[in-house]
Amino acid sequence: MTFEKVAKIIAEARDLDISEIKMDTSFEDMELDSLDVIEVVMAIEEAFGINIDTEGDLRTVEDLVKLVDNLK
Amino acid sequence: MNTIICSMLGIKYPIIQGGMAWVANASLAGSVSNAGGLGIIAAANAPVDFVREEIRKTREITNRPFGVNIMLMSPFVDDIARLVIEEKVKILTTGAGLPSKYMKDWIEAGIKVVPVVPSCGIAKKMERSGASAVIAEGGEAGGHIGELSTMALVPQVCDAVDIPVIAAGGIGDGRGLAAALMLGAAGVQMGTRFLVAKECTIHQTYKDKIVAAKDIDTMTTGKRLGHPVRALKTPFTRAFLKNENDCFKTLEELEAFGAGALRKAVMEGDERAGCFMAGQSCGLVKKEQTAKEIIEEVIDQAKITLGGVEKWVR
Ligand SMILES: Cc1cc2nc3c(=O)[nH]c(=O)nc-3n(C[C@H](O)[C@H](O)[C@H](O)COP(=O)(O)O)c2cc1C
Repeated sequence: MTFEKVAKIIAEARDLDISEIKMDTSFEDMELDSLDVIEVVMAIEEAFGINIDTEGDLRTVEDLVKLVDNLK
Repeated sequence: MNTIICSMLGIKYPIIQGGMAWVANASLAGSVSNAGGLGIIAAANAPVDFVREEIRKTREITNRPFGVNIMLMSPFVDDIARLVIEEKVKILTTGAGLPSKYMKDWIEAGIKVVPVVPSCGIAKKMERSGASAVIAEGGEAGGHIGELSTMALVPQVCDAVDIPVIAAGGIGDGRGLAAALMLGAAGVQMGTRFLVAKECTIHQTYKDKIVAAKDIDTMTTGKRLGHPVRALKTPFTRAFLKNENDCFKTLEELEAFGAGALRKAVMEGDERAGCFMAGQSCGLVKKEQTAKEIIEEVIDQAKITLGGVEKWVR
């Protein structure tokens, strides 16, 4: 499932506890700033072989999961 | 002095004048371009008609290349993104965000896009989206800033991307240009130094304050808002910091306190309500000079510096 994979990538990319990453967790909840979000987006792009250009609109894990599902 | 940036952008010297909101208008940009650097008009939060007018005025002042800086937080950013294509602007820099969603259209229109980047990740992302070069800006700079210092950021960005890197933040003279080249950059962008250019039309009080300012005279505010700003220490910035540290003040109140403050400094020289954005290099800025004098002095000093490190090294 996309969510599990996305959560794992986020946790690994920014050294976070994966159990705290839920579908509705926001980047703000994770204390990730805009630079951290870009690192996450780049890792996601590489893992799924996609190109994301709407990174500015991303707020939550769910936003990212939906985007990945649309672009895959 | 010729680097890859000169041939890429069609300029004589590898010096870019930073796109500074409300400061970088046709007068400044046109003069810098005439002097062999790259002049940049700042689109800031300004509406389309204002920016179109500045582009046309710049073309009356110079027939050399110039660019437009797009401030991605502007409420008019979509319109400005189209305007620069209509007006056949050749070079764009971007600040305060990521231009990803506009890149395709700009590049198709033949525009060279040079985003300001605060990290290697963003630099790589911009390279992938087709940027011609990136400006790696350190937190010494004036205006909205990132966390890393120029010294640490520039060589890391140079390693991260294969496109040319321009260094910005804290560069105020030829030694800074020489150092930037040593770090792997192909040129520099300067903001603070150009604030006191004779052709820069900001309020005289602003210029006087920059000339008077010493090394320790800037501070950063706005960290709590997520977009820190470096500006001169004034009653305004001190009051802002006090509000910022007051946990009963909401983010909305803080934003409202800061809104329009740069414009008040630029237009009115208002010391109570104006925000005099400036970088740490303000201590290197000693006098008002023409854009041409600034550029030639920086280039001459860089050449001397590159010819042999002064003073301490034997
Ligand atoms: C008054 C002021 C306004 C600025 N406004 C912008 C802006 O609108 N967009 C942008 O990309 N950078 C802006 N900057 C940053 C400059 O373009 C430039 O990168 C920076 O000044 C370089 O650092 P320095 O001040 O140490 O030379 C601004 C800087 C200053 C001092």
